[in-house]
Amino acid sequence: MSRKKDPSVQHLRDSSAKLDNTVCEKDENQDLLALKRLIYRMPDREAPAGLAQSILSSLEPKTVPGWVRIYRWALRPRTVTFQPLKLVPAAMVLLLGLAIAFQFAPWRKDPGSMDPRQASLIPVTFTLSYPKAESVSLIGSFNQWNPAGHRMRQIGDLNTWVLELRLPEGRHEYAFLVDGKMVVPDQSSPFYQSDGFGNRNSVLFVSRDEPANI
Amino acid sequence: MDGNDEQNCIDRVLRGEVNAFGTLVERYQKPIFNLMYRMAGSSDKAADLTQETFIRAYQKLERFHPGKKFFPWLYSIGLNLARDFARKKTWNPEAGSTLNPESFSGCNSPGDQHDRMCESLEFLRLEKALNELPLIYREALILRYHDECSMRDIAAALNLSVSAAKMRVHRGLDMLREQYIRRNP
Repeated sequence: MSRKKDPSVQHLRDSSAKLDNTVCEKDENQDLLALKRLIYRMPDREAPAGLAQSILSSLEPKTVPGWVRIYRWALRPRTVTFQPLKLVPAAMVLLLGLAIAFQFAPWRKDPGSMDPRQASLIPVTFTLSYPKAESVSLIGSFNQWNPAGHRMRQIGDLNTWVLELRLPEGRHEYAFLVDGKMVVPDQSSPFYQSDGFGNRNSVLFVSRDEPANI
Repeated sequence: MDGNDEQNCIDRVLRGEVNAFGTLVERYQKPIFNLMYRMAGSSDKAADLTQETFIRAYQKLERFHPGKKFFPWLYSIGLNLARDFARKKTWNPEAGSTLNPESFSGCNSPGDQHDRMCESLEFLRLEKALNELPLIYREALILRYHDECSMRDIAAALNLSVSAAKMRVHRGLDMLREQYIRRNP
C-alpha cells in the first residue's frame, strides 16, 4: 500500500534537513577552529643544551671564491627609495649628458662632410651669354628636361647666365630654355645631337679627370 | 631577526666567520629539533638529525638564493633528511609524545593539576592524530598553525607551488579532524 506524501510534512522534513546541515557545518567549523588552536598551543620540546655549540664546533670556516660572492651580491634584492624633488637635478644632469652625447654621436652628420652619393658627383658650371634674355633655365637629360629648379642666375653687367650643378660621370644632353619658350643650344659645346623635332641639343661628357666648365 | 639580518649573517659566514652561523642555529634549532623529534621519537636521534641538517645547510650555504627566507630553505633540507631517516627506520609514535607527567607536579591545587592533565591528554591525542597523517600534510599543518608561516614559506619548505601548499593545509586539516574524531568518538 502506498502512502501519499503530505506537502506540509515534506516541507518540515526539508527544513529540518537544512537545519541539520547548517548545524553540522557549524560544528565542523568549530571542530576545525578548535584543532587549529590546539596545534597553535601544542608545546615544543626544547633543543638539548649545547646543541648549537656542538654544531658550530663541527664546522670549518668557509672559503668561497670571489666570483661567487660577486654573483650573490648581484642577486641580492635591494629597495630603492627616492623623492621626486631630489630627482630634478639628476634629471637635468641626465638630459645635459644626453644632449652632449647626441652632439658628438658618431651617427650624427659632420656639416663639412658630404653624402657619399653627392661626393661621387662632379661639379659642372654652365654659362650662357644672352643679353636680351629675361630668364634662362637649364634643361637636360639629367633633370628629365624639366626647367623647374634649374633657373640660371645672371652675373652683373656681363649679361651672362650661370648655373653650377653636380652631375654623375657620363654623357649628358642639354639645352637652355630662354624666357620659358625658346630652346637654345650651347654654342660653346663641340658636340650636338638632334632632338628629332628640328632642334639641336648640346652634348656634354662628364669625366672625373676633366672638370667641365662650359 | 629579519631577512636583512639573516642575509648579513649568511654573508659573514661566506666570508669565513663560522660564529655568524651560530645566530641562525640559535634562531632555528628549536623548530628543526621538533621536526626531527616528530620523525625520530627520541631526543638523541632528533639532536643528531638537527645537527646534520645545520651542517648540510652550512655546506650548501653559497647555493642559498639571496633575498629568499632562510627558514623554509633550512626546513626543506631538514625534511629531506627526515624522509631519509623514515625510510631507514620505523618510527615509534609512542616515543614521540610531548606529554610530560612531571609538568603536573608543580600545580598548586588539585583543580589546576586536573586542568593541566586534561590539556596534556588533549595534546597527546593531537600528536597521535598528527602522526597518523602523511609527512607532508602533517608538516604543512605544523608550519601553518604552529609556526605561523605564510603559504609562500610553506610552499618553499615543502617544495610545492603555493596553491598545492594551500591544498595540503586544507586537506591536512580535514584528515586531522577525521583522525581526531576517530580517536575521541
